[in-house]
Amino acid sequence: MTILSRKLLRTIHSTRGQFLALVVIVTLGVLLYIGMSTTYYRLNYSQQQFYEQHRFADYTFQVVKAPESVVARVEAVPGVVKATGRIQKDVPIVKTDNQRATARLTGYRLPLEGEVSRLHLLSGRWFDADSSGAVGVLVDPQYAQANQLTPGKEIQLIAAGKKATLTVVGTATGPEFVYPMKDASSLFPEPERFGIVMIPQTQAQQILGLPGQVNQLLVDLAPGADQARVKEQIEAILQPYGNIASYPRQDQSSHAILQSELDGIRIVALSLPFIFFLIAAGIQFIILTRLIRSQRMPIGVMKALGYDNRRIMWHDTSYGLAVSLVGATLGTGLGIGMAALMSNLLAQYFNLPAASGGVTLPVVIYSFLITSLVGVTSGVWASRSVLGIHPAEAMRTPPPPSGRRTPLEGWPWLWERLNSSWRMSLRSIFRNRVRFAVTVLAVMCAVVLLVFAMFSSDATDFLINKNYNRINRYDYQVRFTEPVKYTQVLEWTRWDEVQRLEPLLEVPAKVQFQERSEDDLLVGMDPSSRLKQVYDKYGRPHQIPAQGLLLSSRIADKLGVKAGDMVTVQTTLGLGPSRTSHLKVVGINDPMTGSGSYISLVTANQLLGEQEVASAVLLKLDRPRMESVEERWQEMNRVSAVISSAQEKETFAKLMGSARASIGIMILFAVLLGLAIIYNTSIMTFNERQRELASLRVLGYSRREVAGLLRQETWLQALLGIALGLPAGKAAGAAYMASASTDLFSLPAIIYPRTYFIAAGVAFIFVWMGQQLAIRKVGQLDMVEALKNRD
Amino acid sequence: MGYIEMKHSFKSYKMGDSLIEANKDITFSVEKGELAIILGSSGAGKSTVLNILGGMDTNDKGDVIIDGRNIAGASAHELTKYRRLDVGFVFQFYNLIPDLTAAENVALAAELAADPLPVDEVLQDVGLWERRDHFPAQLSGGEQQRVAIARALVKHPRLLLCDEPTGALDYETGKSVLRLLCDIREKHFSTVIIVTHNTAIGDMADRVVRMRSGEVAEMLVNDCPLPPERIDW
Repeated sequence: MTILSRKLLRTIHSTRGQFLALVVIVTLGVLLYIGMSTTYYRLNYSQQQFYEQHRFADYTFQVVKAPESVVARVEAVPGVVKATGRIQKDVPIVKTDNQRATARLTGYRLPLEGEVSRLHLLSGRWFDADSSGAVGVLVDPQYAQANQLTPGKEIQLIAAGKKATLTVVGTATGPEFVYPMKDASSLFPEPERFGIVMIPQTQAQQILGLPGQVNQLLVDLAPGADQARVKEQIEAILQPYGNIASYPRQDQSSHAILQSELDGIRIVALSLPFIFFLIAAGIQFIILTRLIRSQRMPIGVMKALGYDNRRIMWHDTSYGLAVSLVGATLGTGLGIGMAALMSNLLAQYFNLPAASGGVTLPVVIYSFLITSLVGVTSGVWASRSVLGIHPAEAMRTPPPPSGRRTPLEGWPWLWERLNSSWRMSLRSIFRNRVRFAVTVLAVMCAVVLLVFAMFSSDATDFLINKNYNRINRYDYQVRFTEPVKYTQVLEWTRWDEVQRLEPLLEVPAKVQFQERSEDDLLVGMDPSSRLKQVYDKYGRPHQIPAQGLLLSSRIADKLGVKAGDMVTVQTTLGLGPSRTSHLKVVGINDPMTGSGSYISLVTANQLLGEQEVASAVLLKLDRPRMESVEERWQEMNRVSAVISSAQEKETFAKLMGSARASIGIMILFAVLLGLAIIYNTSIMTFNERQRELASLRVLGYSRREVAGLLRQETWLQALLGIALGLPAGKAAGAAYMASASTDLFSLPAIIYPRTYFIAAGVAFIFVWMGQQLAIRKVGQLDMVEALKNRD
Repeated sequence: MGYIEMKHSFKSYKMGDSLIEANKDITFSVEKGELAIILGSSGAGKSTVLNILGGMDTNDKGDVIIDGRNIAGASAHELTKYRRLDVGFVFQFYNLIPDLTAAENVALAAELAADPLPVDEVLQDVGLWERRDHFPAQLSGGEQQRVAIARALVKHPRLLLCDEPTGALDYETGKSVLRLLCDIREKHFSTVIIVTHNTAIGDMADRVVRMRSGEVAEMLVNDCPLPPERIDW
């Protein structure tokens, strides 16, 4: 070991507290970088592989019903490589406890080989191709788990007015079911009450009473095919069969949610770690600058002995490099562990076959390169001052650091009110502007992290509160298998428990404006409804129009529609002929979730050429949950789903509970970061002012007064950092929300005042703790020694 | 009984594995209002004596009586109070606060004292009133030492302790600082103790304590102290 290496080790040892604090920051950065990037790469790879192996459809077309022969015609369209026709329909499941759930009954043509959007068997066995004997079905793993369905158990469906009993033979998933959600208005998956039931095509057609018919066409396009043109041609073929909807892969809900999750991970992987690296670079720069200043004399001696600048600079830079290498090594180990944990959890959550394990080597290499770059850059930058040290000069006593007037002294009314200790602190801050700025920015980042960690739960809580307390004021929503005359359900109002009942009619439709067309779900309601109110994502109320259409901003933006425009509405309900009407857009609504387009109940009926029909009813009961009422609905075949607001809230509370762990981890990261920053700043201030502080002790200042002086300076920086961090945290949250929001889901950047208080409170704690760690040194301050030695 | 009495005082330090006996059975006394010089070469233990007298350090054994009160064995809190109210310190390297102007450095000490002298008056006494708004970096060595003396003086201490006050100064400036110390003693009736290795300074003292290898080698009372202008080195 060379003498210089030994000297480096001793320097590290004598500054071990600061070295450790820096290592913690780099470790956290690398941990986040490797953890998030590896998770992203693995999930992304897993997604791509899964999509490719199971030939995920590029485009999906929904029709009312069409003969299977249409598939060959679609396949003949230039640009189409393969088309698969299948039947898919939501039907009620009657569970063993008589409760209702919804099955998305999906038929598969056998053999599966070569078909588009194939299945992936997870457990059990494949269903038999023939339709003799008991009908075997596969269910999605979440539904199977939530309802304790194992191979051999039976499920009972109601389809085409009849009950059908099916035997579960295993669990399976498909590329479009990685995140099974019932519809755009669902806030989260509810595996107890919604599942995918996969079955051979012929049996599905038999159960649904649609032999030889399909209602969905899944299309695999040739690479580089003109999507718009192909879509147009296929829609022309399907037109006679009632083309309800057509959407590309990126609009498919399961894919959109998985993709937005992946995008979110990527954004975090590419931003958060770099905050840690930048802070590490800034603090390293300051520490090294101070070290070099304090080693002016030894550096002068080394130069006098004949060491050249490059050698000495390399020696100083290697301190930063050592921090980087130790941090990167620790962070890599922890990051690989975090990635394994996260990607397995997410793969499970998304029904993806387990993401391939192991280490993503490029990510590890990048993290070592980035951290080394951070160490070397800050080291070289700081050690530039070595160039200015002349041997002879370095061995003389240096002049006192130059005190300077601060701009604050231009305000005598303020300056004259300050005592000497405040004047000292303020001048010291103005003298060490770089350190001041780095500390303020670093504290700000820690606070941003704190706010960021907590804000998503605020935004979700806001959404839920809005959703259940202001928007959906009903206790139950009862949905029907097909629209019914609401005079038939009005008798429910005579039930003792029912306080109020309101009908609702949802009309799936194509909204057309000029040359453009978009699929939408128009919700028809009484404008004077008391059980459902319309609020946009900013909490502004909207009136349901008696005439005309309140259009969702998502559709309005895509079509280029403004309030006052006339649009053409073509119904795409799978029953009866499609009808076309013209509606005036009376307003634009930007909802948090779901469709967001509203019309009056009367208009909805007019669109369908009906009178007084409803697809669902909303009910307010004496109590939020009444089993006696639920039991009565369970007896009714036309009831497809019973949705209890109280139950949904409970499910959501459970989901939020599981998010708490990740919030906790983020808060821990922020606290560690903050602690490392404050400890370093306080130690540096202490080291630099040791002599001054000793003089004050000699003058008669007590330990507490001297410690107070140190605290004062740190608090000034910390308070400014906290004050900047709170709004910056909100801005970061808003930016994240904007980049992660989807057509289905767009959360406002809502942060409750409570969160700011908690974030500030946590920041106060880490500032206090960091100072306490450093201030212990005041007790060890040796007045005699400090005053004897000249730096 | 003397105003200051150090009796059989011992002090040793651990330096690695070896024990350094800095003070061995030190006994001497100084009367109120005297200018005493503790003389000795480097390592004689004179600064240790001064640090113990100033309450910056404590002895291992023996008594340190200041104006009838024994500070040996006083608590850290009591020593802080003692430094705050009774003692003024002047160091070889001034130890001014770089972020405070000359006047502010003096005011810093004044803020602590029960009955401080007016800052401007003290600055006038040390001849630095015109330079009161300058920062230490803008002052010469002699000027910085004058500020340090003013800082020690403003508390109106009963005891002024100076550790090699001329050690970092040139001949002329050194002499002017000594003149200042004499004037202060006369004006404020303080007891002044100066530690130095410069034997010539001994001629201006009322009392000289000569130290060698941690012990008092000799104690002299000088009936005819010379003014600083007449001493030479």
